[in-house]
Amino acid sequence: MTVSFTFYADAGLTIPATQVQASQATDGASAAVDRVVYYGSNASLKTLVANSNPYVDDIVITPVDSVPASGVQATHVKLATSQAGLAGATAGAALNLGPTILSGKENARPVWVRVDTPALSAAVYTDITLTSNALREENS
Amino acid sequence: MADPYINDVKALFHFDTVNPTFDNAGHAVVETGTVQTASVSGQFGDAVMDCANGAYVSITHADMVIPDNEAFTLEARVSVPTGLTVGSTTTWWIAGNDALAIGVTMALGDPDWYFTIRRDILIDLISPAISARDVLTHIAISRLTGSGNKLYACVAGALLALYESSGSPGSVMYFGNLPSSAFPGKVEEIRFTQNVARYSSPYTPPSAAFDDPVPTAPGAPTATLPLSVTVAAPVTGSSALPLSVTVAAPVTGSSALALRVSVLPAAYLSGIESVCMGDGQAAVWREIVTVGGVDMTAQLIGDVLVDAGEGQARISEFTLRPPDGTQLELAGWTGLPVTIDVADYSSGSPLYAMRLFSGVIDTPSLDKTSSTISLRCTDDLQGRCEAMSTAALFALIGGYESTAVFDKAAVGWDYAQDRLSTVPASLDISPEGEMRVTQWQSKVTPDLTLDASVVGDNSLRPQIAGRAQIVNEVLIDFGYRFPRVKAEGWPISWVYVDPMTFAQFILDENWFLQRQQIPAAISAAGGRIESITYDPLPNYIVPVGAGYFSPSSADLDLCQGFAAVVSFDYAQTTTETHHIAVRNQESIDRIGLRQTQISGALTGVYPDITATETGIRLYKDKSSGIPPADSAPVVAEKTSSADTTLTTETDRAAADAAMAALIAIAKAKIWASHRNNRISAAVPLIPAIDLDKTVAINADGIAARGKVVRVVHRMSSSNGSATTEFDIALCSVAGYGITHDEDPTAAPAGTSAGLSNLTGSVNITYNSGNTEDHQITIAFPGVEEIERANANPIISTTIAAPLVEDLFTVTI
Repeated sequence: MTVSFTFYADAGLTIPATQVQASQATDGASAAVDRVVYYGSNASLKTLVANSNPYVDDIVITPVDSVPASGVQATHVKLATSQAGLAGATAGAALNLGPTILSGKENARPVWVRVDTPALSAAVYTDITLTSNALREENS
Repeated sequence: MADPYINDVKALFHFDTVNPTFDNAGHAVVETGTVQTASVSGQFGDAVMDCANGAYVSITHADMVIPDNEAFTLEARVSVPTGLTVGSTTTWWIAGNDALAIGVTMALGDPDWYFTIRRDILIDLISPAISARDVLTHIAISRLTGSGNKLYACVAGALLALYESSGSPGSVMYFGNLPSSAFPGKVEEIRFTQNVARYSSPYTPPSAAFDDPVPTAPGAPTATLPLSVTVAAPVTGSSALPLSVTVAAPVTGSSALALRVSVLPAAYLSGIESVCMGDGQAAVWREIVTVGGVDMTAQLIGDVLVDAGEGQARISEFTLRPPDGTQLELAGWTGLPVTIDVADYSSGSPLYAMRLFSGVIDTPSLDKTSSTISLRCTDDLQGRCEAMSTAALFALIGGYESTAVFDKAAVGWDYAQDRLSTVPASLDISPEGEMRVTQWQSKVTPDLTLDASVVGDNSLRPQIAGRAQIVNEVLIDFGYRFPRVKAEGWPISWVYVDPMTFAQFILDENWFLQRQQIPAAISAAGGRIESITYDPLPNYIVPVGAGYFSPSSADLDLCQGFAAVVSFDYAQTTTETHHIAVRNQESIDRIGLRQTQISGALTGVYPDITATETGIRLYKDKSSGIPPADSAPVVAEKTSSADTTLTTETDRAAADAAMAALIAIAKAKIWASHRNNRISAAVPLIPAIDLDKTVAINADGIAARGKVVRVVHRMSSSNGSATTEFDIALCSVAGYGITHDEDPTAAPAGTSAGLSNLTGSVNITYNSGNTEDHQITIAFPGVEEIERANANPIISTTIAAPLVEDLFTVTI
């Protein structure tokens, strides 16, 4: 059994997100693109905690680059829990969602993603993955 | 094994440091020398009495005198030192004519135990030689009663001899190194047992210290009560309840979401170029369709359609033809995520992919004849709104809220529509799947400019809004009904006789007014006295005709007049009628008045204004101890009013919020009706054209710039056709560049509590004549007309509704 918490395209947690799509210009001059997905669970009475030290360690989302130093890199991505927070976010840094997340749409956490790439060759890059740390799901 | 004769033990000396001696009958025990010292082989406890130091004990045993024919046992453990070489020693001795002694003698060369029992004759018994020195040996004398009064001398479990003895020894027993005999050995465990002959046959010497008896108070009266103790086998057993514990591995894992970044030339992003527009040659493009994350492009047949409009769900339609033999679970396809992209395919692989649709399968349809599956997909705008909280929707849309105007129970889609009705904007979901609100106002700098080189020949289709579609004035009727409390403060200053007329008043035989008549008259008129002072009669002699008026104490109940402030409290229900005309004057000037109406009403919720009015009166009359929740202050010469405390959903702020919401709705209605001018165009598929874009068109004599309100992308692989059809909305009435006034979206000021002047007068009549009834009558005016008129104020306001003109000219 896997954890029921996952990314959704909407705040109501009706459409699971399969990817975050953004378009950028090859010359690097296009404006940064902001996207938002929601991390939560529709399961009943569940609590998500970090598996390393439950209720103490934080749940974090990290932009992981499977092909470092080429294409889109983790430092081209910022994460924040609000769109306003993107401006002050550190490029490539993990997003801290706190030690617990309860299930239910009202408890879903927005994950804002800002993509701003420099000049790159035209291609579709999928080497960045927003990845959580090891998590544990418990009954609330 | 417990000592069966424990209760017959009368004296017991362990000579241990913690438990040295015991006497069970309160006898005098005298210790001489140090009677506890260690140690000797085989001792019990931690010490013995070392007689070599001259130690001994004596016990006066008057009640233990051994009489004739009485059984007893006297015993101890005794050692003989190695160094004993001469003489006889006695270690035990009971003095008297029938003395009894036990000791050690060297008479035969070796040390031997000897026993002396004396009565009429001396009987000495010498035991076998003592070979073991410094070893404690149990020795005892035990006498039986009955025939012959047998007395046994015992050493180390053996009965050495038997004598007849019926004598009674003396009353003092000595143990240890008696001064007369100087026994040098060691002694412990001396025990005297009365009435019992413990040793009448060979026995096993004791291997542990003797048991201590339970002390009893000497001479205490005793009683016996049989105690029956039934010792039964215990009822034993056990109970068991199975405890089922399931230990499961914790649910663990992690989440991951791919970030897909499509990097392509800026010209494609802006729409200047498109993968579907050839650059001097035919464009080679390809749609990319994924279903449930699986690329299904290879199974596409026919057209792929994407259709989006303001405030509507984006839909897509396409058909798949799976390979023969493919086994599908079509029922599970509903709800699967779907993405549609279009990409350059000139190199044989997708390049410059741009997203056209993100959604889910709404309806899969199977055509068995053609073995095709038609999929109708949606971005589920309505469903996503339904799933969102009102807080999230409000954060996304904004706008105005009012429980007086909108259904406060509305949630989801209905709530979103309520909010959208108050803003000049539309809600949709982007091609990437993100909910967004796009403002109706077009951008000054268009996102994309299209000319005749792109716009298809004769594809431009202008649609001018009919007059009937236009609304340039919205009349809002809003009624707000609420209670207020008021108080009139009537000042009275009245004198019916003064110093100039005083004498004549008396000569005319008039009656002075009793002070107590005045409050009664005010109360009879319905008023309440806030303050009052009386003009007293003169306190000096006043000439009256030929006589005099002399003041007296009775005059204190009379007066020449009074000054008072009298209040009247009442409640008034006010109904404000707001006529708010939200209008765009330029539009009216150009098109003529195109009017519509909306209305609303709100009633302040208050417990019972009539009861409040009564409560104020009762409280002021001191007929009630309950202060009124609301009351107006009394101000002389004024009518004061005060607002009452209403519920938060019906108070003034709620009324203002309701009117603001209605004004916002009116403004949005006017703007929406003025953007019904449309230009439709068809171009090669340009993914950048979407509902958030402002597109400028300059072709076929038409110059226009407006926001996209509908877009349809159609891709047909069969004929290589890829087109985008779109509509832009154009707000055009007074001409591009004309600015329109706008007033704030705020409720007009309503009536307010405060003060107004009292204009009437108080009429006082006093019948003072000798033959009259001497009554005073005070009449107050009724509620002021101006206050009565305040019950139904009409407030008219005009609010300027804004428009932002879009470029829209046609050259014939």
